Amino acid sequence: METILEIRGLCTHFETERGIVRAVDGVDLRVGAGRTVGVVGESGCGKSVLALSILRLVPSPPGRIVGGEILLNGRELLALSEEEMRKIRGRDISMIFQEPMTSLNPVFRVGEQIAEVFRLHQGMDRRQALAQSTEMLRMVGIPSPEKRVRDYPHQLSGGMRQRVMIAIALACRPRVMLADEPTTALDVTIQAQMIDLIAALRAETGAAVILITHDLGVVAEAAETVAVMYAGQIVEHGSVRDLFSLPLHPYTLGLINSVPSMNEPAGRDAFLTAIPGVVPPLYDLPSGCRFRNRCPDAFPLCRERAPILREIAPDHSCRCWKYEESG
Amino acid sequence: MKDLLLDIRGLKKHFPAPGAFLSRGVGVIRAVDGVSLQVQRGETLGLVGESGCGKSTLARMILRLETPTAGQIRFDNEDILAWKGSALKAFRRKVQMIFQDPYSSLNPRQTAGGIIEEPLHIHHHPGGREEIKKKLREIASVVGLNEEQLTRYPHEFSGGQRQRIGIARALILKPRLVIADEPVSALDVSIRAQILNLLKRLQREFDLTYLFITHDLGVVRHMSDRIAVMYLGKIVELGGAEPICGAPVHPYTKALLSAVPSMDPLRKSERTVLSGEMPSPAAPPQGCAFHPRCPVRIGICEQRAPLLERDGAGHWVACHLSR
Ligand SMILES: Nc1ncnc2c1ncn2[C@@H]1O[C@H](COP(=O)(O)OP(=O)(O)OP(=O)(O)O)[C@@H](O)[C@H]1O
Ligand SMILES: Nc1ncnc2c1ncn2[C@@H]1O[C@H](COP(=O)(O)OP(=O)(O)OP(=O)(O)O)[C@@H](O)[C@H]1O
Ligand code: SF4
Ligand SMILES: [Mg+2]
Ligand SMILES: [Mg+2]
Repeated sequence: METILEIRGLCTHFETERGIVRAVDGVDLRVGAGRTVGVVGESGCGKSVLALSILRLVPSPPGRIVGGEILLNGRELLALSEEEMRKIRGRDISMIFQEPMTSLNPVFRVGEQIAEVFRLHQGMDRRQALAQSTEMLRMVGIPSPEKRVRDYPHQLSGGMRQRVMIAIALACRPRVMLADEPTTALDVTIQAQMIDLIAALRAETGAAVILITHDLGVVAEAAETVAVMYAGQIVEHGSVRDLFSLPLHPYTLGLINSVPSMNEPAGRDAFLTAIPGVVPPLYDLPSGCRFRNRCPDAFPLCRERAPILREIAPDHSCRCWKYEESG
Repeated sequence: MKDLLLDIRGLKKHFPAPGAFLSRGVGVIRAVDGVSLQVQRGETLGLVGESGCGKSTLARMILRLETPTAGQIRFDNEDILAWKGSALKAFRRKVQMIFQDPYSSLNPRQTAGGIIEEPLHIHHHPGGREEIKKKLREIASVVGLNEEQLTRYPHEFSGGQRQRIGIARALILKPRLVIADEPVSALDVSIRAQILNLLKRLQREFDLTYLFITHDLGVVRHMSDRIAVMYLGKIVELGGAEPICGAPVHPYTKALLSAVPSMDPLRKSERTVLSGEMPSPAAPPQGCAFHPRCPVRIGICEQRAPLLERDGAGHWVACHLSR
């Protein structure tokens, strides 16, 4: 597998009144051409900051990438000038956001918003770019695209707006597509359409996809590998198959058990095994393992030293002392 | 139906559609379009369906926050639509709502304690100051809030804790029926599990009846005794939670269930991905409202709307193919 994007030891911190928020704190991740890696985790664990860091769009101040490397086909993005980075965004790496209504411009027709990308990155003239936009709308499955290019965002349904966002993201056939909760605001039937659409387009363009979501089912369906994030760090990484059939980290197991099963009857006396407590504030993390105060398996060492992410089985790594002790 | 608590018959809510009469001579948004439902005392009835199918509008009519265009609502065998003044106020104590968004549904200038006890003041609880405080402490401890937290303001709480405040407020009057409208949709999975467990425990403790509204099929299956599936203002299938989730009959229910992404990588579902989207309730399709998206439709589906008919004990389906 040809690695397109490789992230090594990435740290993005925010300096706030309350202290340093370690939103992304030593993340390693790689994606290959035509592959999807899913990033899952609860709210505030650093998923969006990770995506914004890759595009170098972290608001600064208060945010700053304080360490690590981001390599696109071997080229270090963190060393590029802002000017060079601007060319990369939208052309080589593009992003689909959760809320299409806030990322589409309400005063421009959707066709023009897609055309803008072609003009900017491929130097097309207006007519060419508009024709190309219609093609993009057709490709993402919008019915009567010739008419829809003239619509404003508010004239489209939520699902169609998300399709437009995907069309914009794919306009230049980027090598990397970052999808940050692309289906979260959508109904399951529309979500299923989007998952299929992203998979089809990925196969067609060979793009590498980083799919960010808090929905474990979505990653299981749409990705080949998964990284589970907790409090700014990856705590487990592996293939979808390994991670869901044999979760190693107590947090991963807790997440899986928190979701009501679609396969078994529930009934009056069925209670979920919830993870107690909440995610700690990222400016005031517990000593040792960041998950220890919610962990059912914690033992004294967990309080003293922070575990590292280590390969426990082939291509399956986990950040937990449990496995050090027994292995 | 010996223990019927809520009995809804032919309920409709049509909103005026601005400008729509120009285009198609319709002029109304059929948000709820002929719903009949019974809720038994002590049960949880789940109501599922995609965004815009009319779930919240139905709930708002039961709460008398919206006046129905047609139909009947009987609560404890009395016609609530006829109620005014003090009778209506007494009814409002018995039916409480838990909202989706714990952020916007709480008054930011009130302390958690103030928010939770407010219904007692609104309904002129006869007890004195001491008794109100006692009730407050009781309900707070039941939902897992401590006394110190009661003096804090909503913005100082996490989403899950805010939802606990909302639940405590809804329960302090010891209601008979609790309508929960997407109560966990805004919460993370781990917190969602905590709240779902709490709601189940409270149901047992206080003998509550729930109308549980959600678009999450996993959650509805976990919580409900019976499930009603709604599409474009109508119930298309109604029955026990297990038959509905394990052996759905209506093509829409089947498609909804198959669209739920599965965590089991070995059982990657063969999905029936529905094409298109739910049409606007301002211009519902002729015949069966689902027919343009239905993978198994037949000729008659385009012409005649199927009725919700019995398909086995306690199971109801509105589909021409089900008989
Ligand atoms: N501009 C900012 N200033 C200060 N802290 C920030 C800023 N942006 C993000 N953070 C913090 O960084 C952490 C990670 O945030 P991030 O948005 O990446 O979370 P997330 O995993 O995407 O969550 P969600 O699922 O809610 O989208 C959070 O604790 C957040 O409060
Ligand atoms: N006050 C109103 N005026 C006009 N139309 C309305 C009004 N309230 C609701 N509607 C419309 O009625 C339909 C049903 O809305 P409702 O809020 O009941 O749906 P829902 O099933 O609760 O959706 P969601 O899952 O998004 O909460 C929608 O098309 C909505 O736009
Ligand atoms: S009535 Fe016809 S169109 Fe409607 S769901 Fe049944 S088969 Fe499909
Ligand atoms: Mg985010
Ligand atoms: Mg609603």
